[in-house]
Amino acid sequence: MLNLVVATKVEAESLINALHLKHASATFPLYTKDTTSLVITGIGKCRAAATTSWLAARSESVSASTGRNTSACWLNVGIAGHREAPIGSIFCAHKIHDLGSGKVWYPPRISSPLPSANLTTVDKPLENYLPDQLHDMEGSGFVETARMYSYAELVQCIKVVSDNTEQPFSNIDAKLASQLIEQNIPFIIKFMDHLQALAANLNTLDISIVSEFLHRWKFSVSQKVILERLLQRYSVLHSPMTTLPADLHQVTSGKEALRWLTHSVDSADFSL
Amino acid sequence: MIQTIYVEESVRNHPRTREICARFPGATQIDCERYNSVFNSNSQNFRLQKQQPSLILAHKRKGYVLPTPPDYGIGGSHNYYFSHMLNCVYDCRYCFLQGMYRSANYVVFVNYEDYFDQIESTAKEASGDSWFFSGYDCDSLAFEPVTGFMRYALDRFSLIPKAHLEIRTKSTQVRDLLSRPPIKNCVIAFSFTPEKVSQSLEHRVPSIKKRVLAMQKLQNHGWKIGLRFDPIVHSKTLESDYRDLFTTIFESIDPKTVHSASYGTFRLPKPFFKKMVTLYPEEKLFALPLTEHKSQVSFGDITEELCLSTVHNLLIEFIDERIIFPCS
Repeated sequence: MLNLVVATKVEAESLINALHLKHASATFPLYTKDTTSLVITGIGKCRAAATTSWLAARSESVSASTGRNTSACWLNVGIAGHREAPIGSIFCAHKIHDLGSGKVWYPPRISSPLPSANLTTVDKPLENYLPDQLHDMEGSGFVETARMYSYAELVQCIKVVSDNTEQPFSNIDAKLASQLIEQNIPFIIKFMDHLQALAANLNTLDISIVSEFLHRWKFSVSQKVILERLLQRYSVLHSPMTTLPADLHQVTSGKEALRWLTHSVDSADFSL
Repeated sequence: MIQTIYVEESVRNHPRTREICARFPGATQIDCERYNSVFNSNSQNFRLQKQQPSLILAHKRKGYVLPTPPDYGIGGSHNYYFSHMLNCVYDCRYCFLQGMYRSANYVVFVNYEDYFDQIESTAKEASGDSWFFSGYDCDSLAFEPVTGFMRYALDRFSLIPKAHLEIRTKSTQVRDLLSRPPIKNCVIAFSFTPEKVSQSLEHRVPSIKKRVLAMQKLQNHGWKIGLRFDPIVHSKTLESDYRDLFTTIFESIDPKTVHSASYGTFRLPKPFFKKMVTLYPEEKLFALPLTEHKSQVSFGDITEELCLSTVHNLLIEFIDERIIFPCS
């Protein structure tokens, strides 16, 4: 699952086209295809945070044991200012500093060919650029919120430089913003693929049969956690359960189903 | 290869920081106010980070030397441990570090001098000899070419005969040790599990053969050698697995000059185990029917007793029982 969070329609356009996304919701402008979603937040960290949270709430398949959708990748893409970097250069953020609150986040580095840089999120455009920093208005709101729903490694920000001391913020128009993202689409897609490949490491066990259990019997929240783990153990010690074993068809309650699973895994071969 | 180095502000200009950074000229350096803002931040995934750990250079501020748990030791009455580094370059699936730390990044504390000032004063205050164990929160030697910590440690320990040092390792980085005369108050202790266990659980660890060869070179050079069999992971072929392992070791190592051997069974604090299961749900070791007792997860009393007695009885076929120490 890949969730793209973009501030404005002009920044999002080339991504929507490249990924063949279709308009899916008007509450917040949402575009989707298969497991990829792109939401347009509007400008500013508060909007970024609120929209990120809204998109997360729409997601399904949250693990009972971790409370997270462990495979969800979150990527904030947008334009940013930088004192020295050339217009059109692309970076992923390795340190995000919220100038208003002073809070700092360090998005864990993932192996990617993109260069990285510090990112400072500001409440309004700065007249004087800080040294060695990208400047945006959404990054901190996005990262703080997205990390509540996924692992820090899978929450990343990519910024394309739109203004610098030679070509200041006032020069940016919709056409330029759109072009800057468009010319970097191959790098952004490569980064997205890399992020999703990383997330794939976490989905090593198929316990989709859990939905069959939940459909047939009632389980409390804590029983659901136990059920997920028992199905994982069953999958490791026997083989992934793809259909309900015949014995379980006789079972009349969730408690009994858990007992059957516990016996099945505890009596398995006792060695590596 | 390290691709990212986080540098704590307080050690930005420390000579060791400069030396270590110079070893990785292609690495991106990122400043951080305090190391724990990177290392302890929320939502990190140890498993994902373990694929490409970053290095964090920091200043240790307190707790350089700590007392070991009560049953940890090799015969001494004053036992301490210290960690100049957090996390390990190896990836052993049974290792408690996965459950203890939020991050898989390597932290190296560059103020080595402060460790040894405290080791000196702790040794002076003790009534008799003291033991200082390295390799609790990291492998003592695996990162030595980068840190040079043990080189410094040996220089300092050579001046404190009342203090004994155990360097615990699975590494074969012994070049430095072979290039200097051994010191009497130091034991190089190698950890082993049987071949089958090592291959399935000890990822990135040098083969048993290579470790035995490194140990043999050190023994021939005059260093005291220790053997550590912790954790013992139960299997149906436990006895033959350990017999094979001991045979391999003692074909190359002189049992008469082994300093000590210790062993202990697989056990983990319950919160650590729970986190490790979340990280590696597909790991067979964690799927086995383990038991919980007094907040510890283990194979249970009966199996543990079987493991301990099997390994002990096999060990005494090779070495003097007086140098064998069970650890719990």
